[in-house]
Amino acid sequence: MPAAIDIKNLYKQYPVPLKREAVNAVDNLTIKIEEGEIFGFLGANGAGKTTTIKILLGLIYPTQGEASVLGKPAGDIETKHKIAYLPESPYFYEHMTAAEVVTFYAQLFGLKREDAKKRAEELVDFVGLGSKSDRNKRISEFSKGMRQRVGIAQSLINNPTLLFYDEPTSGLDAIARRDIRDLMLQLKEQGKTMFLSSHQLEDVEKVCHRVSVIHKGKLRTIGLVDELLAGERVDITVSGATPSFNERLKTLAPEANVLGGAGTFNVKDDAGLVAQIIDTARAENTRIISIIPKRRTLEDLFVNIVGGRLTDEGSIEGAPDVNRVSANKYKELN
Amino acid sequence: MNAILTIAGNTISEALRRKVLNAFLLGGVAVLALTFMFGQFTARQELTLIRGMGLGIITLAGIFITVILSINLIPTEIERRTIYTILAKPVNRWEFLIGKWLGAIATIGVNIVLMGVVLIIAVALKQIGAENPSNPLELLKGILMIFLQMVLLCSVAVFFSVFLTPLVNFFLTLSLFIIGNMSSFTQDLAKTGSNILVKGFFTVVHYLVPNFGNFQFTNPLVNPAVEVKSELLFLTQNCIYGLVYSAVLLILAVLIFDRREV
Ligand SMILES: Nc1ncnc2c1ncn2[C@@H]1O[C@H](COP(=O)(O)OP(=O)(O)OP(=O)(O)O)[C@@H](O)[C@H]1O
Ligand SMILES: [Mg+2]
Repeated sequence: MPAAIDIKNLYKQYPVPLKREAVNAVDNLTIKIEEGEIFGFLGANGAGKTTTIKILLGLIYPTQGEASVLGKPAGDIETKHKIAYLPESPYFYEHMTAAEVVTFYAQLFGLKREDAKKRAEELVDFVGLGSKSDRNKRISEFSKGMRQRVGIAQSLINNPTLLFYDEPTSGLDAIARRDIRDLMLQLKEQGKTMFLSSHQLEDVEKVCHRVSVIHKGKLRTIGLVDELLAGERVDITVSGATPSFNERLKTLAPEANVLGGAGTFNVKDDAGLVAQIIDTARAENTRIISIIPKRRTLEDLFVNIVGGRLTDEGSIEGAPDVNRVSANKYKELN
Repeated sequence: MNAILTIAGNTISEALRRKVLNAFLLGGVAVLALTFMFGQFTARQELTLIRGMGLGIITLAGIFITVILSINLIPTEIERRTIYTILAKPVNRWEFLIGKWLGAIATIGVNIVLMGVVLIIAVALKQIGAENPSNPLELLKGILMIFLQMVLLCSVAVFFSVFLTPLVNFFLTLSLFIIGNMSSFTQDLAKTGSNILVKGFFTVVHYLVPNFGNFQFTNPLVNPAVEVKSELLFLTQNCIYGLVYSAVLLILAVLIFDRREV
């Protein structure tokens, strides 16, 4: 059985106007995704996620390299009967209602008008736009979350085996995000293959089997979620740390990540090491406030790889500093 | 086929919602109605005037409707990113392009027919009680020629729209329409040019630019003294010319659009 998606040494360069050199949006990317896999494709803004998806759909063409989808070259028309695409912030004909839009797309699959209408009704209901008031609204009157639901409805018309979802939950409220996450879990259960681009790390962590992180078009890491997040750690918070305690801590646990200025640091979950730290703290008159075991989060991984500060929206900015505290933990401290 | 018709149908319903196009249609109808008000001519002069001006007005309104609709047909889909989800479905790019073109042609056709009906009614009304009245349905030929001219104009605009911005396209298409309307003029220059360069240039212009002028049916209608040798031949020749030229343009457009990134 061929891989669901097979990307080999893929490059995409965009010319920059008035400049000699081009932007390397995708830079020597090689990824293979098997059928039935929910694959998380992570990266900061401008990392090259959307570009990769557009190449896989044949909307744009690679500068170099190969990409195949369900055993056929990217963009193959037969393959498109079996796949789905949800663009990031999808756009539809504004003057139509949700059902009209979905009917239109259903007809593009060759469904007869009546069948297309029926399918559209089902799907509009399924994504939660079936209420009377929503039914009469035009897309131009829809909120972002509602548009995203229309996008999902149109992605399910052909009962696809492979779905490309480009940031399906970005910019949505908690309820909408949960709904979409539940839907993705449902699709996972059905054995669908999904290529999920996102920087909502929490979603990816819950939904995906395997994740990759790309940065500036290059693949930086790839692996099973559990594997990547293995290596449990412990957060220890102390108060009134004396300089000599800090000295001894450095020799005890040189790889301790100091989180913020106050007094939380993060060490390997090793019973002996933690006991030693407790003893040291006692001996050095330093009060231990809490010891909390932590699983490594995807966010840590992401921040470490991308090497910047993660803001609320998930965009990366600022100095590369591998041991920098992540945004959420920073907030906990302050 | 289903995809083409779906896209065409969608294009029509979207176009009919556009106010600019309706404005031109209304303008055309209004001016046609105005020609009806002429009073100071003899009945015969008046009729000639109504026919000539009528066809002229339909052509003018047709040009604007066609150009404005056609130059934006594909760029708007790309700009508004509605094209992503369409091309991710089992729709070939050529099907998309032909569907859009067909939708535009249908819209233009509806507009021209509407204006044509108004003109025919006006002429019929003018002739009530006249001695040996001419059949107002003769005008249908003129209207058909205008429509064919617009089909060709639409194809020109769609062809340019796959690689030019709408603004550049607007001026280029209009200029070509004007040059193409002076086909007899360019033909003359091609023959009598002062040197080989000038001759060559105008020969190329004459054969490359679509000969919109060929479609001018206005003259024989307005002025029956100028005789067209064989009307049927004239009509079929123009039909074939318009359709073949359009087909070539569309094939080229598809070839370019196929390689284009959206
Ligand atoms: N049409 C284009 N022309 C020129 N450069 C482009 C084009 N599209 C994308 N780029 C550039 O390519 C790089 C990758 O963009 P891409 O949209 O793939 O990123 P992304 O990972 O999807 O980001 P985001 O999370 O913001 O959606 C960026 O540097 C971007 O500026
Ligand atoms: Mg993107």
